[in-house]
Amino acid sequence: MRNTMRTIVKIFFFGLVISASAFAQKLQSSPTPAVEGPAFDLSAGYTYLSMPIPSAGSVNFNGVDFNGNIGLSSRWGATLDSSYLYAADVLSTKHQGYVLSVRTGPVFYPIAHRNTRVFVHALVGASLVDGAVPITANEDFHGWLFRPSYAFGGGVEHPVSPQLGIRVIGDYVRTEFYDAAGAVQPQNNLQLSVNFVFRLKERPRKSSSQLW
Amino acid sequence: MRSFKNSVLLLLVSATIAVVAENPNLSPALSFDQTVDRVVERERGFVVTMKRMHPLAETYIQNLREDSDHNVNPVSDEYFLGRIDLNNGVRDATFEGQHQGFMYHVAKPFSSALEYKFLPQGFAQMVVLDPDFQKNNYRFTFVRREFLGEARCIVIDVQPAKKAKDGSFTGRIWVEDRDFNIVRFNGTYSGHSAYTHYLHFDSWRFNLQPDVWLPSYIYVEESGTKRSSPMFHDLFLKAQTRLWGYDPEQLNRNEEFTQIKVDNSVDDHPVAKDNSPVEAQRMWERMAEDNAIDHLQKIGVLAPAGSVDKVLQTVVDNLIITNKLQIEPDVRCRVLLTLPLESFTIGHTIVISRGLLDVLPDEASLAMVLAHELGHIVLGHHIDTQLAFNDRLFFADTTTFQHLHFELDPAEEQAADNKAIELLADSPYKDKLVNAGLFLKAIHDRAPVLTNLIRPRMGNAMTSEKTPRMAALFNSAPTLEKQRIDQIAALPLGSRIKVDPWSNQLAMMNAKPVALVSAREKMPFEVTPFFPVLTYNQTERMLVAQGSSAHP
Repeated sequence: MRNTMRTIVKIFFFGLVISASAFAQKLQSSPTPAVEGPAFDLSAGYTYLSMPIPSAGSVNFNGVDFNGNIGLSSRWGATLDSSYLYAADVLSTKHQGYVLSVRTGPVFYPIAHRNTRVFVHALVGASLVDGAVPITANEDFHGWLFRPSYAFGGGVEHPVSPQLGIRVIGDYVRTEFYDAAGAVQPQNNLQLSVNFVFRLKERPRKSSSQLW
Repeated sequence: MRSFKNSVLLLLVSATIAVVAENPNLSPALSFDQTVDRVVERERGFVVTMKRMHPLAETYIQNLREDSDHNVNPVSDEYFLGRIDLNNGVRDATFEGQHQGFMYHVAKPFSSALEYKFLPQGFAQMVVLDPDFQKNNYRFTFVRREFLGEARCIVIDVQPAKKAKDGSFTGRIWVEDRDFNIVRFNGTYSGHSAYTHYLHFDSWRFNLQPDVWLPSYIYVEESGTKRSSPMFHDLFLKAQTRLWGYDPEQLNRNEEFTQIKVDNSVDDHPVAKDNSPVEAQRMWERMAEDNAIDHLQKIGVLAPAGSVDKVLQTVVDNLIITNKLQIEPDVRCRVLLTLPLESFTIGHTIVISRGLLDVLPDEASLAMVLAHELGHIVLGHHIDTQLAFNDRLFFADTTTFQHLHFELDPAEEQAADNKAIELLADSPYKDKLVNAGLFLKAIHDRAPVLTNLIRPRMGNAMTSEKTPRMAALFNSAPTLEKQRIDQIAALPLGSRIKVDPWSNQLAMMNAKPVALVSAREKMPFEVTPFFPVLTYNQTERMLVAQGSSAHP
């Protein structure tokens, strides 16, 4: 599993380099837009997380994802992401589990074609993981752990109306939880989200001398 | 009779052939396809030429709103001044203003989050139709022939081909038919997104040097897109970009060094005279004044001395003579090439901006502005003599407005106002000051929304929220009636002065007076479209004229 994740990380960075190079070429030939923004949106949607527990299998969490996104330029933005994921029966232990995360970080848009944008992001924050690990057939360990976590991934967003859009996100998420021996172990998770994006209406313009 | 007609026809044909043979500028008939080839070739040459040029570009944007009575009024504005560099894409080194605190720099990246953010480079971009103009990327359709001033043009619709990249130009081009230069293009760039917008623009080029057509004016207008479009925007604005300062000699005066002329090496002054302390002080102040003036002219912000200065000088002389003033050294007048409405003094030099000259309704209003500045001079308000040391002018052009400011304190402004009222009372303008008062009211009325137009860059503000300038004139003026056609308190931008984008020389516009049809056409302080009369370069015309006279 660890090797798989390493491969995913390598592919991700390779893709980032390739798309950044393509973006640089595109920048040279495309005219600079005269106006940017407004680029602040809120999104909410369904999210799924697959959490592997070493030597015990993997747990499937389902939940909701909330996201605030701000555009800093045509290619860069920042995001604040929070999610709550829930599993009713963790690895048949009869224990419920949840993952509550809050992360923030930069967003880069390597490709923007018409109104569709592809993005990649790298987020850092913290996660509260509540779960259980079976020790024997009749015995299990359950508890919670609040530790730093990070995520990187990307996705696609496409507006369907001036104020509404859809965003699909795939992330590698790194959290920590106990193993069967009670030791804290890193976890390599995969999270997928489908969000509805609500673009806020433009704030009434006031006379501004700030841009001078 | 028939033979006579044939003879005349033959003569005409022969004469035409002779003229074409003698004048290579008249091209033989080309097919439309060949014409497009020539246009593309010239346009690619233009991009190469532009990469060597670094003109100043000034963009002024007025955001508009339509009220319930369908009157469209400006509600806010923005202003950029920068130097264009087309190498490695379009870059625009923006001049930085004063008084930018720490929080400005912290908040700047977030300015596009909640509202539209205008990008100076995006407006500068409109000087180029397509940095990589290729015939294969576009569909060209002949429309008609049309004169734009002296230039006979071929009008062509240009649309991106199906597989053309985003950002391709789509619109109409005007090509002068002597050398196939694009002299005007009108349209937009294709492929904007929900977050980035290309605007509609009308870009004009002038024949500034023989066979060289360079961007001079751009007018931008946008009034939103359909709400059903996912790329909907509700931008409602008018903007203008003016370019000037193409002449590289303005920035690099080395050739003056190579043209030293010594007319007479003998000092023919009658008797050497020592300078008294008072004279020395005046000379010192004049040196500081000259250094500042020279610097502003060198970086292209101040126009070279010219005919418009003489108009201002005449008004100042009227004030000086009728008030029997003795001012040493002489008062001079110069014009800033920039748009924001401001006037100030540098020692005994009165500086007034092009934008302010444009909007003043009459000579008496000009006299009011000049009288205020003359008041500073008469009252002996100080000049910063630090500028007598030339090293204080060694800074980047773009930081000029941070280093050079000539504003005076409110008490001095008030004193100059009072003095100006005195000067005007004894002047030929004393009975014509109604419009001057109305102008002050109009500027006070628009000040809350047109902050960037009315905010000075180097001098004092024309008005403030609490106290308008020249309160006596302000209060004595009649009420501002926006619906009255015959009450002209201020003119639209670009009403009086035209700039030669190559030499930065100014001239008064030669437009005929137009009777207004409705109050909507008053447009005080507003951006309007450009319709310049294109002419072929004078140098070229002179050469042609000389050539003709050599071969009668």
